[in-house]
Amino acid sequence: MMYTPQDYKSELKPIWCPGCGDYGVVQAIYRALARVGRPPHEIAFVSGIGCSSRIPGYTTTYGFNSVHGRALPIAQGIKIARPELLVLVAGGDGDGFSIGGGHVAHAIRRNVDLTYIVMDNQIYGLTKGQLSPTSPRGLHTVSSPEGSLEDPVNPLLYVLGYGGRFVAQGTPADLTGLTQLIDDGLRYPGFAFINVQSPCVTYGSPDAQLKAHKASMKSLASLGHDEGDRLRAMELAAEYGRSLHTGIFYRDPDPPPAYEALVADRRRAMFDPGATRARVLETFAFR
Amino acid sequence: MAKKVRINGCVAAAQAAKYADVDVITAYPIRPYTATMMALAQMVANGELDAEYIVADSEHSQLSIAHGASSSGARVFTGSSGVGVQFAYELYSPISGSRMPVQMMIADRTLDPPGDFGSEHTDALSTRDMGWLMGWSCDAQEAFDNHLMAFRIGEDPRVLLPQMVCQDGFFVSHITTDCDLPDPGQVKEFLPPYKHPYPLDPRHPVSHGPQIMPEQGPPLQLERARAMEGSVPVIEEVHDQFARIFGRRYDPWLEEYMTDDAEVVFFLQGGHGVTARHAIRHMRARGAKVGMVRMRTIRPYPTERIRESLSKFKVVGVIETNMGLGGVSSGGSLYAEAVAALYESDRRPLVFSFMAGMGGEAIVLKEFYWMTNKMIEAQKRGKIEKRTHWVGFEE
Repeated sequence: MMYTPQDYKSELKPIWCPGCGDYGVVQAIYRALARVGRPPHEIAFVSGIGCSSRIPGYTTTYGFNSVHGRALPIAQGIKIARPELLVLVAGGDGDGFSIGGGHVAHAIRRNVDLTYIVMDNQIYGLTKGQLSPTSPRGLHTVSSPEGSLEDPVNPLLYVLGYGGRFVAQGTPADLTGLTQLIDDGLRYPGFAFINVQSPCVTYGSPDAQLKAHKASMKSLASLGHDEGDRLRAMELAAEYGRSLHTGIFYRDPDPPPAYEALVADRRRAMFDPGATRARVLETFAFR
Repeated sequence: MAKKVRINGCVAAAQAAKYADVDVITAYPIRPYTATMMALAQMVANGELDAEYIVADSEHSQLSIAHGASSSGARVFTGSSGVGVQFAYELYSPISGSRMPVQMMIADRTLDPPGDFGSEHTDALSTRDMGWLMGWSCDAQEAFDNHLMAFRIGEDPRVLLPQMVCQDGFFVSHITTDCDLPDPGQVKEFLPPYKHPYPLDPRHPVSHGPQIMPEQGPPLQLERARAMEGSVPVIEEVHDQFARIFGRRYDPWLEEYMTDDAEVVFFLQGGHGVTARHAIRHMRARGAKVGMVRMRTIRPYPTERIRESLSKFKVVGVIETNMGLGGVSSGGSLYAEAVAALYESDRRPLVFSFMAGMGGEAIVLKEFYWMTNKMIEAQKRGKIEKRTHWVGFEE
């Protein structure tokens, strides 16, 4: 059966400000899901807390608007218990890199097959405009009236630094490109991270809106970037906050089996009545 | 100069922190507490308050930073709401155990699921046995006053305990009322500069929180229990001093409203006390002998005072505004302690719970009538119908 983006769109009307970047992100998700073609009931969509974390409700997939910062562990639980589901995780920069920041490293190293989409707007929008972990130094907000004294987290370098094997960045200003990135992320067999520069129209900086993105974004492909080159990916990722690079920074050309595949291997080895001792030991050995 | 202002509960809490000249503020946004952290950020930016202000990466870090700052001898102010209060849970016992008088403002919010912003007291109440002094304010003025008094009580060398100064989210935190702000000179007289007796100090090295052997634990727990008990006379003393300096006198433990000839009373805490007073006047005009006992302090629990007070009545209806799932009354958690306090009384009233004001719903006049009728029926019958009524869900 063929699916259309409409099949993934729920009847709930999004509670986002007019002009919010997240409208574009949810559109890109509808389109990417239609391309991947899994029926909505075989998809689970987990989020944390924040404006962007409302997103599962706007799709027809199974949705879980969970706890602030805990989307990744909850999604891992779902995927490990039901590996046949396609599992998406979404949230904002605060959810992913502040209160839930500790989970990102472990989701990466555990390498459960999840697609993690962060809608990065450099602000806490739902609580009316406080500093977020990706707010640029000097940003004036209601929690930093005199300007922030802190450097932002660089989500791209963070994930690459912990060994992320699929790391991309998009913007709703390029919906076609963003759709392709989510499509690629969903098909990647392992933990895939997509940072989406999704502007906050109410509290965000005026020079970080979609128009500005359109003018400044540079696709990595146009730079001739080799997505298998991890070190170059890190160099480009270091420009986060200064340049808006879109596309895939790094995709492991030889992805290892994801966590749930390794678990299935062990289970087969343990319960195979014909297994020899040598075969069991081999399965459990470090590789 | 003293001045009269119109502010909400969140701003009143921030004002109190400013008047107390706090050294370190740790913040993490969550509604409705956010309005306090925003007001404080503004005060620091305006130069009205000279304090370090840190937006932490989560409530857990927020309380951890507060713990560290307090250990170094700073006067520390923090705050949160709902699930934010819960996420920091791990820190409550270490902070009180290390006897650090951190002050935390709580603007109550319902716990998840499913992300309801309204006020319920379960957030703070669930931490009530962690060794923090705790009480509820019912309007902005009382919040301001309670914050100032809590600093004085918690920092007293005979006490040295952290304090949770709670107010209902939105009903108190976001409703603007008249508030008298004192002359800074009065605050100076009331609240001396803070000095912890055992701060981390390179000239006098000490370790905080080392791992200990099991037999070393109980003496420390006993010390903390004694500090909590020992706070009772300090709380009374501080309320007297407060009245002398600022001219506003509060009973530290209970507010009794129209209880002189009352036969049935509401027993509650927090902002619903304001609506209850209005409802009681209304019902009294129609002949009901109803009153209210509002708890101002729940930690330390004023056992004797509550026994003396509640023993005077025939029926006590506990307005819970909190969830005590599977508890002794299958309702809220206030019931159990009130009943325990009454156990040694020779004139025990009938006691039961009302689950009202849940999810941040206002308790409306019609509901106060309904509850009062339930109490009067119980009085006539001489026994309760059931331990817990869910108001609005029953005939």
